[in-house]
Amino acid sequence: MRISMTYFAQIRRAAGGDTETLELPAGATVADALSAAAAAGHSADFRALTLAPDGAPHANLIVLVNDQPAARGRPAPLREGDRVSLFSPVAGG
Amino acid sequence: MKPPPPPLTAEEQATYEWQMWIDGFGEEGQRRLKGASALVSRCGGLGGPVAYHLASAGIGRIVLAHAGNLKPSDLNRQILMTHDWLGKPRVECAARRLRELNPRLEVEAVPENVTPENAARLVGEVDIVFDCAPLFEERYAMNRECVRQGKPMIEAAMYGTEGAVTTILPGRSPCLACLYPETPAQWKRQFPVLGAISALAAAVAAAEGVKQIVGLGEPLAGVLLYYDALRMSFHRIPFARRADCPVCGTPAAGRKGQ
Repeated sequence: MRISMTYFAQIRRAAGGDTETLELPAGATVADALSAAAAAGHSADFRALTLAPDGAPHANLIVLVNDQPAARGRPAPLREGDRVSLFSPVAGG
Repeated sequence: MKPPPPPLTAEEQATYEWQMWIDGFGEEGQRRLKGASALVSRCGGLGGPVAYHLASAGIGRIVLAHAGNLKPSDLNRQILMTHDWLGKPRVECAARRLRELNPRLEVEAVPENVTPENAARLVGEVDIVFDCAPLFEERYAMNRECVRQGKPMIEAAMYGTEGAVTTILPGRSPCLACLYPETPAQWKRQFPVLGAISALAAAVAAAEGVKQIVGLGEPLAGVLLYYDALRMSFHRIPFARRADCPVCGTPAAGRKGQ
């Protein structure tokens, strides 16, 4: 299935762009999508910003799926055509 | 018990007439602003325009906290600064500009950034806090003190072409540590910034603060307003209080962290 990813804040810079499309197996979760994106050649910062050491989404990561907040912890599997938006913390002034 | 808000002078009536026409604002709202005090940390690209809007709206007292001297690289966004002030304390320039705009305003210029050591004192001096700091350590220190003292905190932040604002109401909303439970290790002191982008977050933050003081509308409590000026997209992102939040959660569920 095809999933579109939109990145904000430092994640965008770590990904080298604001959007990309991922091809994932059926039943993949947000964590699977992040792992796939991290393995696709983004900088080490991308993994550090998006994933915890145990492979779960980072505790600070804000995840929207189709503009709706995804439950932290165990998000439901993604579906064909889902739009995932990822926000990392910002503190600039 | 806070004393009743002070009456307005004839000059203040004339100055603030147009905003008192806003439904629900009125003379009572203006008196509340006059009787209110705010901490703004710091007075750069975010805190500068926040303080400017508070001053123009007629708040009674502002405590500005910002260490250091003005550098050329501040001038693309720190709109309270002036070129002739390069090399001199930022906070003095900001205080001067605010007094020029509103000579009735009481300004306390504190040449320090907020730290865990001074946060209790600075937060204790005011009714409301505007968090415009560039480091999470400062933000978490203010968050902890605002929750402890029961003071509202308007949380404003930006990065590049993006910005975010939320309103933290202790006891009624999640706090900053609910939103970001771990100190962001990847955050860097130097970040991309355009003045108009930080000013946008500042205007939203100032509006949230005035609403809170006057008692208008609905606060951005439990909602992160996030915008991306590249596409001019605006997102309202709800977030929840964490039962195990070490700052505002149940004490028995507390854990090490923010």
